[in-house]
Amino acid sequence: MRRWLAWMALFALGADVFLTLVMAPRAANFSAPLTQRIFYYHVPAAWVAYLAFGVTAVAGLVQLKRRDITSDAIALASAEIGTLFSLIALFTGLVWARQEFVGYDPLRDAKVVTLAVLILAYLAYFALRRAIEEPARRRRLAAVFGLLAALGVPLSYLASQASIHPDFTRADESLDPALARYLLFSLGAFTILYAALLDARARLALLEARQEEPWTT
Amino acid sequence: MSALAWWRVAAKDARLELRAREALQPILLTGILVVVVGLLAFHDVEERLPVAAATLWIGLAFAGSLGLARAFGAEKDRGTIDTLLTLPVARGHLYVGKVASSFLTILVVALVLVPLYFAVGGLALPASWPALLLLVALGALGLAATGAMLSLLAAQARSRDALLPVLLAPLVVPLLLAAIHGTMDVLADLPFAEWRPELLILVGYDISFLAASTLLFEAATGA
Amino acid sequence: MLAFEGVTRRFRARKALDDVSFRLAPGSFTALTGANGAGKTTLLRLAAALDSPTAGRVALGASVGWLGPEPGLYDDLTARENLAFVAGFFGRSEDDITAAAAHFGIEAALDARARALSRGEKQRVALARASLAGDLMLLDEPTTGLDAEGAELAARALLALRGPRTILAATHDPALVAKADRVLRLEGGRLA
Repeated sequence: MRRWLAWMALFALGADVFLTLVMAPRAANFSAPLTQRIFYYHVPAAWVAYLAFGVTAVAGLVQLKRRDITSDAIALASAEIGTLFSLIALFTGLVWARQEFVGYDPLRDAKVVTLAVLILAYLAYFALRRAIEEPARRRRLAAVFGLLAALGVPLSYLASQASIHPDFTRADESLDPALARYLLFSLGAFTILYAALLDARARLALLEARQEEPWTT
Repeated sequence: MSALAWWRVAAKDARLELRAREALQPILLTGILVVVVGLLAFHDVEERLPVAAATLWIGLAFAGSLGLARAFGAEKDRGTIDTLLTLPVARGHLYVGKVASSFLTILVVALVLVPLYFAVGGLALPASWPALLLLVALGALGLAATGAMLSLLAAQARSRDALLPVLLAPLVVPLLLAAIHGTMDVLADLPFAEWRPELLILVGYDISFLAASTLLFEAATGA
Repeated sequence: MLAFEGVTRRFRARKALDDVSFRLAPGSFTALTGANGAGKTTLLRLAAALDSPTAGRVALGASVGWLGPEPGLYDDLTARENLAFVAGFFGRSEDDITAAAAHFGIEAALDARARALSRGEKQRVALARASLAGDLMLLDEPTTGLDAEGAELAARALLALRGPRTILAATHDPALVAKADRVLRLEGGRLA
């Protein structure tokens, strides 16, 4: 991993923890004061989960055009990181929502459904990759699936929005602007963390790919 | 001729399906089993409609994925896929042809399953039954579109019979959500405004996946 | 027609084809020989654009009539329907189909389901199908599954197609090799 990126991520994350847990004021309209802070980790985690998937899809597009190993390494790395963050997002989201909303039913939340679909899509992506031995074919078919899944995830959100009433809207609609700053910072910190992890994992994936096919540049 | 190339592929597949009727039996049976088990298991539930809608589409999805696994899996096993790939047609035609024949198979299963609900499921035929047919057709098309594409991906991998449902599941959720809820509304004879969003999503799903898969098909076959 | 320029195909560490270059003359019959595993099937697949090279270039300038290691027929279609399916994409007529079937000696079996045909008959149907397809015939062991007499007939039929068709056939059959215009011999992925 690039040294400066690692340091930046470390700093950003440290600052984020300090700011959100210590400095951020108690939210007036949130009922459970402590678990409310999970919010500052849940939203960015979800953001990274979706961002990572987008990166995997775009990397797949590049892969189909260029047929290189770098874009595939990025796609794989992003998918792994995205899976991790989506699990974090799901867990933190459920904990927070159960505290926040009376009678919360996760199955009636369009965001939960979409996140679940995202996780299933990630798992399917890995299953496909594992099932193909020939490297060139694996890269190509994984890219195709990634693109199709990128189509399916937004459609899942729309479909669950349309069919689920009522929808548990997040309280970020009525987010106090004073708190919004902390959320924004958290988003930034998580994005930097994602970039650092991606850099590290992608480099490793590239090395593995070169080992598999030593003649590739 | 070249614009109708997909029709040739579909016609060939349709002919094969008709002749190899034994292949259709396990597919039909799977669908019927899901429906019957569902109706039996929930026989004491007040709300018939959600159960009916859910079991119909789950039955179609299961039965469909059996048929779809064969779509390109069988071509690969027979050794016919190479001949197909050397034909002087844009590969998108091969895809569209497969979608057409898969769509027909799933539609046939649906036309067997749907009457079951009215015959033995204790449901009343809604006034808007044409709408029901429309939803079934759109849902079947979506299943065929996504399934045919994933069938090609799975055919090139190991353990393809186990892999196809895994690949299909996340992609088919939006389709099933819209189809199930739309079906519920139609069975309850609710006004069009109620199920219009679901209809739009089905249409959007079908168009998106058909278009994306046709474009990506070449990449999914080449070496 | 077909040209290979420095084509290499690697599967992980193994080089199935190593820096292969050649050019086919239109209308010629070329035999591709070599031990099992020498790379003949890989070469044919690359020629048919069923696979891409790891390095080098394959220049394919014609439509392809393909015959793989297996006959690859649809069991529930008749021989005629199998032929007609492919022939239709190449604009061949009913007469062409009957002529091709006669040429390979299976006109009697045309209306039988492919499932009911013997291995040798299937092979000949597949050969007829390849001849109805593109101008460049790429054949993987064309006389496999045929008895001595059948192989001799098939060999003669193939050689008779020279001119209107360009043929590249991977084969062990001495009759074909002897009468070929050119022989390409593969040894461990390289052209000898």
